[in-house]
Amino acid sequence: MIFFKRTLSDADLIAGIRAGGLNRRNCENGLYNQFRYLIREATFKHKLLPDECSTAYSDAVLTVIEHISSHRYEGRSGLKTYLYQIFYNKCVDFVRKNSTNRESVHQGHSLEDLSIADETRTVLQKLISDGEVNYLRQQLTRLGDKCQQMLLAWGEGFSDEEIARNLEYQSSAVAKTSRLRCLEKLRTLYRKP
Amino acid sequence: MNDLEQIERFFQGAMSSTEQASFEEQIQQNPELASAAAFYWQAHQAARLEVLAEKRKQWEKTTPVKPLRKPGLSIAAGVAAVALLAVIWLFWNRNHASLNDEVLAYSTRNFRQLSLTMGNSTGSLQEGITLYNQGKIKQAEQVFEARLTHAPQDTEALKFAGIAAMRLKKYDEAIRHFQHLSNTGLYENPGPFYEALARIQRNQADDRTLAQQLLKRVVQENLPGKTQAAEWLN
Repeated sequence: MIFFKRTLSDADLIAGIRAGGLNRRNCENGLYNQFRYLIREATFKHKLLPDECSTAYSDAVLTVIEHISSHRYEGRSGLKTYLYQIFYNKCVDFVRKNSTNRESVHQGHSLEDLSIADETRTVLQKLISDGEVNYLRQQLTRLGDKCQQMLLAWGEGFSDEEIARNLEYQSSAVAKTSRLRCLEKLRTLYRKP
Repeated sequence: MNDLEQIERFFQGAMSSTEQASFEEQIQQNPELASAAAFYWQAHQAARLEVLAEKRKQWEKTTPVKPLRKPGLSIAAGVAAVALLAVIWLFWNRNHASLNDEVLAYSTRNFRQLSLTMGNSTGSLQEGITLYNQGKIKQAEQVFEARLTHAPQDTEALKFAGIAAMRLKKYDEAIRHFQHLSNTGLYENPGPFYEALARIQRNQADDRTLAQQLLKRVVQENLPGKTQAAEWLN
């Protein structure tokens, strides 16, 4: 009964995502579903494959969730406009990839977003590659459950305070120390294949 | 504070501008710190991609997204649909038109003249029949109507008044007369058949359905017009 389907307002979605817990999950799903028709539009508009558009859209939704959660999204535009802009850029990345035979599309954050000196960016850029990221993804699965949960929550953009609350640590400081230890373990695995 | 914590503060933008500038200089000059920074960045990306893969699975559990069809195909489909509708309409209309034509032809053929023997006794009816056969259908109708004011149950007057009204394309009146005729106790009652003729010619919303029912009744009850009714029904 599509006529009776409730559409969550921007305020509901933002409040729900920031509230955390089950409410956050529901609102994340709500945000994804509310604008998923953009995927169909993009397949037509950008002549991309449905799978490419789905990837770009999921990535864009996750970015919006992170921005809402970290208050980087300040509500100066509607959620749809904000999401659309991010989604559009990610689609353009795919179009560029298809037209220039680039190996892969940059997903997630980019060093371009950081306000750092060009020289530093260049140094880091040389060391960063998609292959290394994929290798790290494999190593992540070799960590214990607790560490995996911790690092995935960090990857999802949760603050240490939220991680402490969700994973039942005494304080955000304890959560942070544990998270950095997990990261250290990952680095050890990364160095010793 | 270990290097990862420092690196985290750097990427989070938590350093003062002086501290950041100094840290960036270290990254540029110290390959070990640079690779630690690259590891941190890539680890975060890896964790994020894992989350993204999980989210995609969860989000796409619902119906997969179908791509929009290309407009060319939609236009072609639209044109085909319109063409199909046009063909159906023409076919339907032709069938209807042909039945209307047949009924009109039947009426013209059979009701051009009223047989004097059709009316047997009363002088006014004879007068009406004469007028009708002279082509003075309107005056004939008035005569038949006048007769009905005196004898509302006169089946001959009802029949002639109906036929005259039908010739004058006053189908509402014709139908009223034929219905009245049908309700009389006349044994060989042409009322239903004539009403069917009038309804087919009037061609309003339910006329065709009702006409079909009337024609079926004519066939079933062996009423006047049966042969023609059976032919049209087939």
